[in-house]
Formats: sequence, C-alpha cells, structure tokens
Amino acid sequence: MIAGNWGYVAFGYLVSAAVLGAYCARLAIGLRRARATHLRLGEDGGERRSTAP
Amino acid sequence: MIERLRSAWLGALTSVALAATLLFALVIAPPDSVQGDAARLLYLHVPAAWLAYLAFFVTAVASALYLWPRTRRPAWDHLAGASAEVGVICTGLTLFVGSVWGKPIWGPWWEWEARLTTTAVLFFLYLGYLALRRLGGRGAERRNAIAALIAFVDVPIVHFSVNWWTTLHQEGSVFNDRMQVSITDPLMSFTLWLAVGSFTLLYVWCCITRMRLLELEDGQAERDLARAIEARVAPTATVSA
Repeated sequence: MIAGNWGYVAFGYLVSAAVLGAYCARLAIGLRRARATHLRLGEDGGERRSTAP
Repeated sequence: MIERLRSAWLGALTSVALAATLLFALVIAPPDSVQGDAARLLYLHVPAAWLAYLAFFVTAVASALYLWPRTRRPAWDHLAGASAEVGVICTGLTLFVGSVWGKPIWGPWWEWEARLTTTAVLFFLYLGYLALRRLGGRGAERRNAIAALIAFVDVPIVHFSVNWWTTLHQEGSVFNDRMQVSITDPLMSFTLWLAVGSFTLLYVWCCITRMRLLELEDGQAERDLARAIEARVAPTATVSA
C-alpha cells in the first residue's frame, strides 16, 4: 500500500507541473509577442500623437 | 528594461525556490508515519489551496478598489483579472491533487461532502467570472468587479465548511491546536512553509506578467479601434473634399 502510494504522488506532481509549466510558458510567450507588437506599432502611435491637433 | 530585469530576477528566484521545494518534498522530507509517501501530496495541496484563497482575496480587494470612484484605475481591473486567473488554476490543482491524495487514503476519488463541494462551486464561480471578463462591452470592468465581489462570498464558506459541517475532509491542521493529528516533524513543517513561500513567489510572478500582458492587450485594442475609426472616417473625408 505504502509503496504503491508513489504512483499517486508521481501522478499528482507530474500533472501539476505540466499545468503550471504550460501556464507560465503561455504567459512568457504571450508577453514576448505582445511586447514585439507594441514595439513595432509604437512608432506609428507616436506619429499619430505628434500630428494630432 | 529595469522592469524586465526585475521580472527575470523574480522568475529565476521562483524557479530556484520551486526546485528546492521539489527536492525537499520528494526526497528530503520523511514519509508520514500513518499515510506513508502519499502525504507528500500535502506540499502541493496546501500551497495550491492557500494561493487560491490569496488570489481570490486580491481579486476582491482590487475589484472593490476599482468600484470605489476615488481609486478607480484600469490597473485594479487588470490585477483582479490576473489574480483570478491564477486563482482558478490553483483551485483546479487543489481539487485535482486532493482527489489523487484522497484515493489511497479515503478510498474514493471524490465525495460530495462540504469542503470538496464548496471548493468545486468556487472553481466554477471563478471560471464563470473569467468567462464574463472575456465578454467585454460597455461598462464591463464595473460588471466584472461586482461579479468578483459576489463570487468571493464562497471563499469563507469553503474555509469554514470543515467547522460548520461534519466532513470527511479534516479540519485545518497548521494553526489548529485542537487537532490530534498535526504536523509535528520539523522537516515536514519546514518543507510545507518552503512550498507555501515558493508558490507565493510563483503567484507574484504570474500576476505581474499577466497584468503587463493585459495592459499591452488593452493598448493594442485601443490602437485597433483608432485604426478602425480612421478607416471609416477617411473615405467620407475624401468624398466631402
């Protein structure tokens, strides 16, 4: 019974690590992409602001 | 640049803390005298539950600050959304790990008892809150803030459910002197606090990153709207000229 418990422990830790890892990766990749888009469009936005009446 | 460096340092510190937690939880901490190695799931279950409470508390406070006219800022709405997202993941993990732990100790994977049921309700309440946030629309932030405050009512019910009703789930054992079964081994106790600390760091990193992402997405949405307005106005201007 006690030896068999390692199966449950491994299952719990592996799934939790996969879920948290996937979420953190999604955040990091999303932020990198959003920053790239922001930088690319930043100059455009600056021009628009500078020509506004 | 400084912000990125801070985020990188926080990310690195969180990774080290989580690695240390894994080492202590799976290798260094001794097995429980009654539950054996299954008790190692404690170092996941308790921090996940603690973070869910913390995340939903932060969501409620940020929502209240958004609703209060003097403190109304988009940042509070972003914080509420970011924190609720982490909270939902942690509540899901609490339910999952609890179920995996319950199987070898209690027998069934799931029991419809007070603590488990109220936690499941909490999970679906905040899942609904996140779905509501995605709807957007006029006055969405105000509507979301009210929804977050209503959903928070379930948090104390979850916490005190083990005292109010007879449950299969044990009472809280960390700050409970009345409990006959408590964590007396110093190494187990240290591992639990290390896990709580490292999960809290993870929460802070996730919240900061998600908030920044929400800010950038909001800016992008504003730019898209301005471009759409320009595209509509431009042909009219050409015709009138």
